[in-house]
Amino acid sequence: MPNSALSTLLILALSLTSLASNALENEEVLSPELVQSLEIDQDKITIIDFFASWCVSCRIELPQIAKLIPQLDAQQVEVIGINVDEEISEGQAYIDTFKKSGGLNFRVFMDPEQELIDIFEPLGMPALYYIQNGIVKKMHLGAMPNIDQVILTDLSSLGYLSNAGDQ
Amino acid sequence: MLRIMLWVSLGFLSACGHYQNLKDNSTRQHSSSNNRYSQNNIVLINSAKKTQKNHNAVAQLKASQVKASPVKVSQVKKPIVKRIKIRQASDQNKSLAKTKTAKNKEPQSHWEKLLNLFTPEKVKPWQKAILAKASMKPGGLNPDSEKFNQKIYSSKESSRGGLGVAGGGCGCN
Repeated sequence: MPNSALSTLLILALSLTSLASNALENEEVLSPELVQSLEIDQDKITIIDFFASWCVSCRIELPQIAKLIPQLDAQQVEVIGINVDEEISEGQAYIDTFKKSGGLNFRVFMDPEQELIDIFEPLGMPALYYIQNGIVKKMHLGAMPNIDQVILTDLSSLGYLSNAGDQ
Repeated sequence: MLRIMLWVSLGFLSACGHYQNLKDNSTRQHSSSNNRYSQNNIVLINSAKKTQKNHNAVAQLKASQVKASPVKVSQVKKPIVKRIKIRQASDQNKSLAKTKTAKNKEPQSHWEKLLNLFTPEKVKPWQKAILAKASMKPGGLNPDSEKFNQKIYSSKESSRGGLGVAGGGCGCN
């Protein structure tokens, strides 16, 4: 095989290799501007859920999360949803489909320009992040069965007091 | 051999270009609205670039906000979302971008710059809306094609089912 062919092959192979990712990892700090933009309460554990209308797993998980929220102590936990559909109308229509099952009872940010998710850079959708004191404490990327139970387990590991809301 | 590789690389690059065109088509026709706007518990992140569809959606959001009947202060226990002050998009983009720039301190070497020339832009998990469309399936929108594929699969594998999982392309587990 001639040298030129080998070099072409090498360039093609290298072009397909993945480069380093800038994704937010555990224990990384969110910028104050981002915290302010999302109006994250530093005293609470904030769960950020990225979703989109075309993500089928999101359709399964979102009602479970919405159902879980009334059981959580609002003084300790807050859930924020971020819709990353490029078309707002699609995202809005998608959110409206949940009205039959009670709707989404948490704040939802529409991010058509995908600025927010571009900061987090999750490796899969849906993406769930736990933020405490402006620091990423935990994350789940991709579909998770029984997400409500997963969230409860994660919250207890982050110091959430499940009985505090009853007092 | 060289000719075959050239054809393969050209095909690969044209495929990347085709996807880029699809993506560009979905994000053209920008409007100049730079505001964040909130309705109920939905907040629209400021956006310098909006498609025509997005522009209409924002207009609808604003219209419904105006039509909404006023609520007495005493009835409001705890609003889910406060009305957010309108900010200039440029300021917010700068502030949000700080997080990214802080992580990109390492300068690129010449080799990395050269590699970037040949590296197609990767489709990120949250950019797979187009790939998740039914028309992007191997058989396209033609139901006969899917039926045919299932027929072949069941005859070859002596099993059926497991083909109805929807929502490809989202990077789900």
